[in-house]
Amino acid sequence: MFVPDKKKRTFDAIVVGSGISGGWSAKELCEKGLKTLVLERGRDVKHIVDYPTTMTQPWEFEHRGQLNHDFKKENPIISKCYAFYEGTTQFFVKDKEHPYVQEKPFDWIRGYQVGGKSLLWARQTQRWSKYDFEGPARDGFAVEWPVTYDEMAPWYSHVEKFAGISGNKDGLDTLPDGEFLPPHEMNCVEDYFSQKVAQKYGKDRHVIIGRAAHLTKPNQIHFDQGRAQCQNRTICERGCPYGGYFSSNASTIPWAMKTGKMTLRPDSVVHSIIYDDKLGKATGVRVIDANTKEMTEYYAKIIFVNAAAINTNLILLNSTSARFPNGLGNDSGVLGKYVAFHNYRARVSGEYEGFLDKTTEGKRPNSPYIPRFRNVLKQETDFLRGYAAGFGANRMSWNKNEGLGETLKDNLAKREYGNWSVGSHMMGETIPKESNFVALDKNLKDPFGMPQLRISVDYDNNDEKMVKDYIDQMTEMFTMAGFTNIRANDSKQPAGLDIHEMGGVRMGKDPKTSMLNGFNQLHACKNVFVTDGACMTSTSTQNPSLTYMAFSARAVDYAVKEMRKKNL
Amino acid sequence: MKRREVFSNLGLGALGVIALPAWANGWSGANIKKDNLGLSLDQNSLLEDLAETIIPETNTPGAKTLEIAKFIKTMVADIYSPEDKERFKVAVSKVEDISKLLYGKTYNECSKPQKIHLLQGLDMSSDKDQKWFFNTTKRLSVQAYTSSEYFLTNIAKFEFAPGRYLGCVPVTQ
Repeated sequence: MFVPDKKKRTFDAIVVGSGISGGWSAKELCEKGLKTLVLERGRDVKHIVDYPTTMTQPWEFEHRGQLNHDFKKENPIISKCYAFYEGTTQFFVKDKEHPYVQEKPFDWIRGYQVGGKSLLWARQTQRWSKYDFEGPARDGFAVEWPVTYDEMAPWYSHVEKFAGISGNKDGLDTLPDGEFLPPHEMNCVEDYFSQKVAQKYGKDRHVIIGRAAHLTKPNQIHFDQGRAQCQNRTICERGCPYGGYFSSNASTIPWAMKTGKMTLRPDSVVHSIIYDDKLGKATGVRVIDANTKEMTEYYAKIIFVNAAAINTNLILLNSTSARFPNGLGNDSGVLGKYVAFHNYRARVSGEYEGFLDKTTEGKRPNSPYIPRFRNVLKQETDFLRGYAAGFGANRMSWNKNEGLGETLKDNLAKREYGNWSVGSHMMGETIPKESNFVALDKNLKDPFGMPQLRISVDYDNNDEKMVKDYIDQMTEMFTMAGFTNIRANDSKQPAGLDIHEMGGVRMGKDPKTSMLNGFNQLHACKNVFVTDGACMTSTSTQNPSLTYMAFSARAVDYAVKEMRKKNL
Repeated sequence: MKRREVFSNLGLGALGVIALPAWANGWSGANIKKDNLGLSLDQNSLLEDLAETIIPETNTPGAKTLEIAKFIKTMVADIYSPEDKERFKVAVSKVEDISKLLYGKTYNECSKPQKIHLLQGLDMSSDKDQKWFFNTTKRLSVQAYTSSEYFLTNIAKFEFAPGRYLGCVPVTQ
């Protein structure tokens, strides 16, 4: 490999990772005129041209979407992911390719490519409220957030306008409104349930349409990105040729590229951050070429670590120096600890026998949402915090399949309708604990020579109580609405499958108990910023990506100002 | 397979007397050429006949045109567990025996009602493997048919990019 000289390997800024937060860091840095190197450990995935199945018709899949038996057996972890099927295997890490140690069962779902998991995400985008940011301080867990909702609000607006978020202005202070494109529509039964819940629970509980990163009606800023209106295909995870939903690939990466300031380097596994003891700051990163396994150093004045929560922990833990023998910025000893996630274990389903003369038409890449209603204004249950819930109703229908031969064929041409099916799933906040951690294995290495991670993350009694409460409350709400055949299920799925792993490099006011300050800046190494899920002090119940976007944009703004003041 | 077993398993009731040729019990397909599922040529054409019986060609496409047997083989070979794959193959290998015991001829030579009748017998069979084989073959045939381009485009009016969601429209049909 040709290794350019040091000058050519020197940039103003380095961004590690090109997923949802890395893409935002890159866009903001480039827009502010910084020569930025974006390092992505996986292969390049260019918008549209590298979406091989985006136009594949259902009948064109040899196995109609199902996965080969032997392949599933070889990949038990990734095969559990709801978005992993015959049309998407190219965007997920296979189990054997990147091993890790599960001290406790943990389904680590990864997408190693340009765009990362932003190609594959569920696109739900809710703001945090003041109740979420104030949670740890009020309830006495983790550490106090060093940032408030009011400080975040303009940055939520900033990222929402560019990404394109559809939603209804519901006027709830528990789930603040954003800069919304027109909302998706609720169907008759969802609307009915929303009204019943409002009648019964007044201002305490709400069923609203989900807020989702879909261009329901694009603005000029979206056309400028080369994106167009969402066509309601609901096969987003294959990559969208219209750029109808937000991904790094469709939005921030090409935008950053257009500035002429970005160098994108795929197949670049970051080994560690280089710390200069004399200068007292980071000077660059060591990169392993994924193909040649050769190591090269790249240099910059500021470094944004956006490798995705757990891999960001890995990189910092692996960045040891005389000053930081236990990982970069880890004076407090909390690096890798207080990892948390979202509890998605329970579902409640049922049927509704009303509106039988009605059905739906078309497709909707979204569904209704029930914001957290437990312990919001004050502590009211025997468990801490609470859960949000997804909700949805669908008219059940099928092709009649009795008989054989011509009878069967005639039957299959007829559509039969049943009741409406209704379903809900919980999204519970988990409490960050020191005992939920990731650490480097002392002996095992991955195929790139990096230490393997040991992951030790589990549920606790608070989570068990919350699962029970969700089932009780949702069953009560379904019963109240006249739903029948109500069933509850606890999947007991391991942590990780929620794909909302967070923490390990948490923000906080006190350097003794946290890694990052209120601007996502390492307390002890001022020119390194972490704005992906690793920075999260607590998890609340919202889908986290929108908050990572806002943190990234806000941290870049701060970093560049600090840089210009010569403080970095 | 014994004649008595076939009748008791299939639960077909009185079929009328069928003269069974003496060689029927020992008959088996001798073709050695295998496909991805490891079926012989004869077994392959048998599976095609079974699929054609389930989803026949009429004035609209059926199993032959839509290559439903090929889909069944692909799914069983690639998606099913080794145990179920074997179970499927064993069941296929017994169909001709059953046909000969019941009607004294190969499945292909049977009349259309006889072909359907035999499948109904498998469906009602007390033999779990035979019933499973029927259900599997029918389910995969229906899946192949209802996910075919012909069906989705012409009958289901499938839209790849609907560009809309309407939450409350009257049920038509």
